[in-house]
Amino acid sequence: MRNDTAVLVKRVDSGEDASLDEIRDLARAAGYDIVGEVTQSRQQDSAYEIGRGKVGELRALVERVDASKVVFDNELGPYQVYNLGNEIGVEVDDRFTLILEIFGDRAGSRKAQLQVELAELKYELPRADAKANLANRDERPGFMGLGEYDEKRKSDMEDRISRIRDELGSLSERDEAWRRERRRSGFELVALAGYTNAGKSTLMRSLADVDEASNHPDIDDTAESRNELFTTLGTTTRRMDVPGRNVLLSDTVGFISDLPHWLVQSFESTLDEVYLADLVLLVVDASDPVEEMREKLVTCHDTLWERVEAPVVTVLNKADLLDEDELAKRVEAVRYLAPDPVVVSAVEGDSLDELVGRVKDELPDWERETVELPMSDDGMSTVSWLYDTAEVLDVEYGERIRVEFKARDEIIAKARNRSPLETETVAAR
Amino acid sequence: MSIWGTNPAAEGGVCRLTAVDISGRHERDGRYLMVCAAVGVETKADAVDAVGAMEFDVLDTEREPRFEVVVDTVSRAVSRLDSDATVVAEKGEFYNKPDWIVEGALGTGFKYVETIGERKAVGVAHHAAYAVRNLLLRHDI
Ligand SMILES: Nc1nc2c(ncn2[C@@H]2O[C@H](COP(=O)(O)OP(=O)(O)O)[C@@H](O)[C@H]2O)c(=O)[nH]1
Repeated sequence: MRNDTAVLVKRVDSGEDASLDEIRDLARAAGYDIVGEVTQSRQQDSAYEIGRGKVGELRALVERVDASKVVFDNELGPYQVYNLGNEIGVEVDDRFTLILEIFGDRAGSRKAQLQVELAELKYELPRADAKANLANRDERPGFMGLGEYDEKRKSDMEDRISRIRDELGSLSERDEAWRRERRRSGFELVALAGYTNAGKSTLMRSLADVDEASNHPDIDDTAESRNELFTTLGTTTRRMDVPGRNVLLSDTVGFISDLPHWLVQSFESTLDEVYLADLVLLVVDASDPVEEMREKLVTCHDTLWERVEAPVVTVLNKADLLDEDELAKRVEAVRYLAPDPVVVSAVEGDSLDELVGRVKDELPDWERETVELPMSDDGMSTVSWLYDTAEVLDVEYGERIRVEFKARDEIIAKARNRSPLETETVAAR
Repeated sequence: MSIWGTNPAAEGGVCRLTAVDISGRHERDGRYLMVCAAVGVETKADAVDAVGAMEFDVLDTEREPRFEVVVDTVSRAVSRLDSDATVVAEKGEFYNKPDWIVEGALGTGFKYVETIGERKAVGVAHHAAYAVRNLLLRHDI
């Protein structure tokens, strides 16, 4: 994380909400120290977004507080960024470059990094002409990073985009293999979800095995493939110590409201771990105002519902910031969305044992099951589906396909539904 | 009761609801064939716990359905279920009208989806309505 300081700016049309809450959260999530804030209610200025007089005020403020960056909560065009940078003398970002910065910082896996780079390129491409134009007429080449723009730049970007797409394609295949391997090795995946700034990374640090070295010996002396398993993991996945289970804990970028549409796709892929997880910990900042907590929870449920099959445990974090009464009020206010939350403080380490206990309880039990499937396309596709969602122990191909596997209850029920024949259950282990 | 850690008072958290969804809100060959499914469900915040009875109502009309017409169709499907559970639907189902207006028009408890469980329940109703509508179309009923 950077140790930079930023001044936040927002222009709204008259009557619009000039609240800086969200851009403040985003700037903090990106690691900025906020040293000043400016809002203006007026029509958009095509050259500077805000009024010329306001630009002067902003420059004075930036000088006074010695800010290293100015972040607008508006979408700025390339000429506006250029003009503002020239006038104010420090780098100027808009809301979307800030979001990209957060993605960039937190994209743990190669896949997520590529997705972020792709998003950046898609953001830049339509602006490339304007920037090349600016760079050519600028008497100070290199200023504000514009020097790198020349005629060739655009076709380079296009090349890069197509190479990233290729690599992403092959990474998806590898993900698939990794997922199967993870099941086969008996690892379960717990994913942290929630808005940025809820405390996911902090919780991750508190919950993950501190001593990374202690993880690796027991990986080395097991199946060769486990090495592969771990080298494939992004930097945001760690072992988590849950007695009796092999658990991997994965951090995610986190939700951000009102993502621009060109970012939604890359955002989705940063949630892959959540969709593949055996258990989702939905982390909520309990110190947010109640209405905001509720809204964020509803948005989280909306983002998750279609693709999450795993149980979701809501974690109300930052309990240390509230007294018991206030906390009780909040638990009550979100009871409908989070009927059985775990209240913790990731920073103080309060109730983390209980959270671990809860993870152990909620992780679905795996039972051993044998099904016989018809020797047909349907049967084969069920086998392939079992490889994805269960730990396949044995497959025999005869007149029928006989599959022995270990899986969660729901998977076993689904497998039985797909098998028109009699099935038998063997007690687990 | 301590507020720290797991909160036992809220354990379980199962809600009885009637999930509704309408299929066929768009005109086809100058005709609207709308099928409303009402499904009795038990949901938890993160899942559908149980699916019970299903009822349907079919509306075949040449006029673009207005709010009142949608309400009537939903009311008929829901009343066949003979349940007093709160009705839950997606935001778009009632032209984004505030929930209290829909509640007044339906004359039963009503809410828009919030939780994963509610959204999945409406997903079940959606599949049911869609399947019935396809059946009607295929057999030209
Ligand atoms: N008071 C308090 N602050 C917390 C707690 N957990 C996280 N934070 C702070 O909240 C901010 C965001 O935390 P972070 O883990 O980066 O959030 P993430 O964006 O969800 O990963 C940081 O400044 C943390 O120090 C907590 O339990 N109590």
